[in-house]
Amino acid sequence: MNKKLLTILVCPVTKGPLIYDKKNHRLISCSSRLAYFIKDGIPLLQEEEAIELSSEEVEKYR
Amino acid sequence: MVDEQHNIKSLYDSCSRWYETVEGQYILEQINPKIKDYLSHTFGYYAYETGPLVDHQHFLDESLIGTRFSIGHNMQDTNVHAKPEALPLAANSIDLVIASHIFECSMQPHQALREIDRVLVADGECVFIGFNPLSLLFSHRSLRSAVNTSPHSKLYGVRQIQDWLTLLNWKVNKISYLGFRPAFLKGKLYHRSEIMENWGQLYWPILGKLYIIHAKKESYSQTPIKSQARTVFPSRAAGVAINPIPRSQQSRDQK
Repeated sequence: MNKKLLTILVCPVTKGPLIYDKKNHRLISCSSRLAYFIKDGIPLLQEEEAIELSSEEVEKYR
Repeated sequence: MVDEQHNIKSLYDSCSRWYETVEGQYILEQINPKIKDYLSHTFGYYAYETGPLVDHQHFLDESLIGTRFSIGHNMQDTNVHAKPEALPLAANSIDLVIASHIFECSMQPHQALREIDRVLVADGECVFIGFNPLSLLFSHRSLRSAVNTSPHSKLYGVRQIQDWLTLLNWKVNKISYLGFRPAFLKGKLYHRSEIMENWGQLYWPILGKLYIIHAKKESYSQTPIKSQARTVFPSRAAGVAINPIPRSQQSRDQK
C-alpha cells in the first residue's frame, strides 16, 4: 500500500478520514461506520463492497 | 442497484473493447503524442487517470508528477477501486486528472464532473477523452456498438461539456479531435485512406471520432485592497516641500 496515496484517501461516502488497520488489511471510516477491504494492495473503496461496523467496533478505532 | 452496476460494467467493457479494433488501435497511437504534449508542462504532487483507456495505456508513466495512480473498476490495471461519482480522495489534493469516457460510462455524468472539480487543486488540469456524437454520421456501427444500446448510455457533445465546464468556472485550453476515416472502410482500404486523417484535421475537424478537451480549474485569488488613508504620498502630504530643482542642477549650483 502506497503511503503517499494513503494520505489523500478519504471515505467515498462521507469524505471523512480513514484509519488504516494494518492487521486486518482494512480501511476504517468512523464517520460512515464502514470498513473497506484492501485486496492485493488495492483498496476497494466502494460502498457496496464495504462491510458495516457495529458501534463497539467503531469505538475501538477512535 | 445491481442492474445499474451491471450496466456501467458492460458500458465500460464495450468502450474498452472498441480500442482493440483497427480504428481503436490507430486512435491509441494518435492519442499518445497529444497527451504527452499536455503533460510536458504540468507539475505537482498527485495525478490520477481513470476510465476504460487505463486498460490499454498508462499516460501518466511519462508525467513529471510525483505520485501517479489509476482509479477504476478493473482490478488488474488500477491502484484504487472506486466509482468516478464517489471519489475517495480528499478535496483539493490532485494536480492532474486524465479522464477517459467518464461521461459515457457513468449514470451520473454531472456528479462525476463535480467530483473531479472537488478533488482538483486550484489551477489543476484535466484532460477529458470521449466519443464525439457528431462522428456518428460517419461511423454508425462501430461507435454505437462501443457505447452500448443501453437506455442510460448517452454520448455528450463537446459543446455540452464545454458548457458544464464554464458553469464550474473552468477554462478550456484546447480541444482536439481524432479519427476522421469512416468506419465502413475495412482492412487494406482503411490503411490506404490515411490521407483522410489530414483532410479531416483541415476541413471537418469537428467530425472526429474522439475529442480531447484540455481544461483547467480556474481560481480567482482575493487581492487585499490597501486602505488609502494609511498610504502617505509625499506629494499629497501637508507640510512636505518638494525640491523642484533636479540633482544635477543642485550640484552645479554648489560649485
